[in-house]
Amino acid sequence: MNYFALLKGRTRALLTDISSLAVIILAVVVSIYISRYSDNESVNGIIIEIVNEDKGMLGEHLIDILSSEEGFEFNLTTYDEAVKEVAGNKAQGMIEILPDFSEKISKGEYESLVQITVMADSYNMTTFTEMVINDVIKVWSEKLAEKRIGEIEGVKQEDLNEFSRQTKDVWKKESLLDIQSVMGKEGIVQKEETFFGIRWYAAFAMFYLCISGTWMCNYSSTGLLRRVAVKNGKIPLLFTFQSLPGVVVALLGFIPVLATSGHGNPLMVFLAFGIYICSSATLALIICCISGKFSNLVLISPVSTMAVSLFSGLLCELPDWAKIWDTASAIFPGHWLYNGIFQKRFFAGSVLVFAGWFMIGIFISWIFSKKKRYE
Amino acid sequence: MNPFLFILYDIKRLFGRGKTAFIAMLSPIPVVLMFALFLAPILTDGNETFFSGAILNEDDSESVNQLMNIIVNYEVGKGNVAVYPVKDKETGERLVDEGKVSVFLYIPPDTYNDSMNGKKAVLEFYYSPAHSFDALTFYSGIKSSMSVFGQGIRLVNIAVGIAEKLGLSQEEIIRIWDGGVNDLQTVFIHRGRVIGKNGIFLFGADYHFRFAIALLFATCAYLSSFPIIYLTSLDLTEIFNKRSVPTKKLFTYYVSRIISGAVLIMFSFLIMFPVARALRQIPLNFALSVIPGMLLTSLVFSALAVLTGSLFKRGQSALWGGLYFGTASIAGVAFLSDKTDLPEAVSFLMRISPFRASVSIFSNAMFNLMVERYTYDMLILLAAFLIFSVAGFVMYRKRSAV
Repeated sequence: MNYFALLKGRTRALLTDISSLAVIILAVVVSIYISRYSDNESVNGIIIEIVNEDKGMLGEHLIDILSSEEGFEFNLTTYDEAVKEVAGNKAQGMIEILPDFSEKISKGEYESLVQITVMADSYNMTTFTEMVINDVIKVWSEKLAEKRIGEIEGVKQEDLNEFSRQTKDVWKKESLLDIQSVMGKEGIVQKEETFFGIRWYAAFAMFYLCISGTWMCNYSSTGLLRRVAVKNGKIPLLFTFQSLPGVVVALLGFIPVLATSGHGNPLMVFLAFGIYICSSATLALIICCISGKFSNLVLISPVSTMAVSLFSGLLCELPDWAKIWDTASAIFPGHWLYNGIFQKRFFAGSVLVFAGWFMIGIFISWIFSKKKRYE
Repeated sequence: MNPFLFILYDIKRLFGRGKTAFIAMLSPIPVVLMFALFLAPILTDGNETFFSGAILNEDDSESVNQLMNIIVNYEVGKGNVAVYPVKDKETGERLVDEGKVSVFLYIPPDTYNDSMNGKKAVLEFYYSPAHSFDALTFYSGIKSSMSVFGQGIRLVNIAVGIAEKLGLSQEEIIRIWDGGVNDLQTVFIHRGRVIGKNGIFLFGADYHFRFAIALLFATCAYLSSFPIIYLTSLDLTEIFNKRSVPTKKLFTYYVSRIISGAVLIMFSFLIMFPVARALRQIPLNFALSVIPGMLLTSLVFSALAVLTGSLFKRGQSALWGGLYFGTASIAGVAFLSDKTDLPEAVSFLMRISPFRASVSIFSNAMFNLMVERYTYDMLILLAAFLIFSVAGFVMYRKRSAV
């Protein structure tokens, strides 16, 4: 059995298969984008329509305060236009300042001063409602304080003007009341860097190995595996030489991602990724064998990659409330890569996981080739 | 064979590809379950206590006591929190560390006096890592509102400054001071009422959840269309390309394929939908309004799948095409749908994207239902369905040996 001929053939096939190669190219581009820009992420660009129906002056003051909020772009418009914009997905939310806004605040009433319509089109809308409430509260508080000053005997218009002037600066100043959050014991130290670029690339790379593993599914049932088994070839060697080009391509793609991530210990991460990608190749072998057909593979690959990467903490942080998740995810290679990225111990665990998945992968592919041989 | 039998026959063929169709239907389950596990703490906020907390107020001022009582009593009454006063800071932190409570709020001595004298006062919010998700959600609400309260104190300070300048008596100044602080407290405890809602904190804290669940729905539904892509491409290459079929009959086949594909996609919805409803206790009227959106989405994705399958000669190429188109659509909605600095062409594509319309229908209809947006999105889906169907049939006819 000429395994090097298999390696050569597989390398040629992989490099000329633009469809699957595009997956890894896209993965590199997206991961570099995440590495460079994810930390600077803000809520820039969320468009909010404001409809000011207030008959008094306070509505305009509210608009002034809202306009100084960062991360939102406010458009003052009519009700019909605002509804049209939100309905047409040109704006994500709408604030309607009701006609009796000034009147109610002047009377000390607070029920339904504004109406908010929010489309959950973005993760960043979570803080929007609180922000609007706080800004209404600012207008309301100013009016109440002004009323108190107005009640002072001998107060003049210039004093009220002075108050108005000073209040403009108040909202820009630091609050006199603050709350500091402290995580309890067993707490994980808050990470300054998330390294999402590396983590997401790892997930994409696993997807690439699965989706480019058509040789496994197409041939595992009918051809290559069976022929190797008939010729008494070694399935582990076949798998090694067949998956090696994919592993190398994924490793090569990792270099620019790692270089742009700004990680302090790139060699260690490269090693962790190397073991991870080998383990992922064995997982891909299992997924491909189980899929059997390419049509199944395109369904199973994204779902299983998403599930495994989520479970390993690669796509996003594992929730702290479920310790059992963290423990259980140790069976997946992503768990150890995560540890490697955050400079925790990973080597022994990742090698063991690789060995375990390798054995399972070889066993499953052997079963499948056996099964097909007798069909 | 009448058209209904055609559809039944095609459903049988589509589902008869055994593993593929069943994987398509069942694939959302692990993702939905994992998602549910991930958000478990906030999923229980329907009837059960949100979390328990300990509190230590070392500031003996009446105003702080009053304010804390108002907040705590309200949240306890609402069932959001269970609060246990503790005697010292160590006990509070120990209760958190031992997992007996989720959070511990510590109000240091002179909080009131410091803030009133223009000095910054900092409270401490000690929380258990096991409850960081819900604790930090609560924390962000309380922090932003307390911050505005603290800035409001500056306003009272200005008022007092004016009173002092005018030479008012100490008694009168204290009266203005207390009145101002009482005003702030009133404003604070009624903050939710300004938008017509009850409660003090946590308005809109679950928007990200709504968006994520809608995105998940549409993604899983799209993935379910892959068997349709594959089978259509195979049919055209292996059957219709080699056999002459009259246009009328071909049209019947085509319609049957779209309907049977929609049935397959609906099945995956039917698996996800009850899970989503159970997770979030969505009101029945909102839940029902999603059903037309599901039907139309199923038809659109099915028509799109048939079009994709007709465009490519090889089944595998068609699947690659479907995969890339799906990935681009999902990534676009996930990362770009709220961005304004996009080129006009991309913004326009985002607005008319059937995938975006589908996500928007689910997030809108399941949670707040803005009728105008719902109608717009349904129209987008309808237009997409017509375009995909017509284009699909043109390609279908071209590829077959009519």
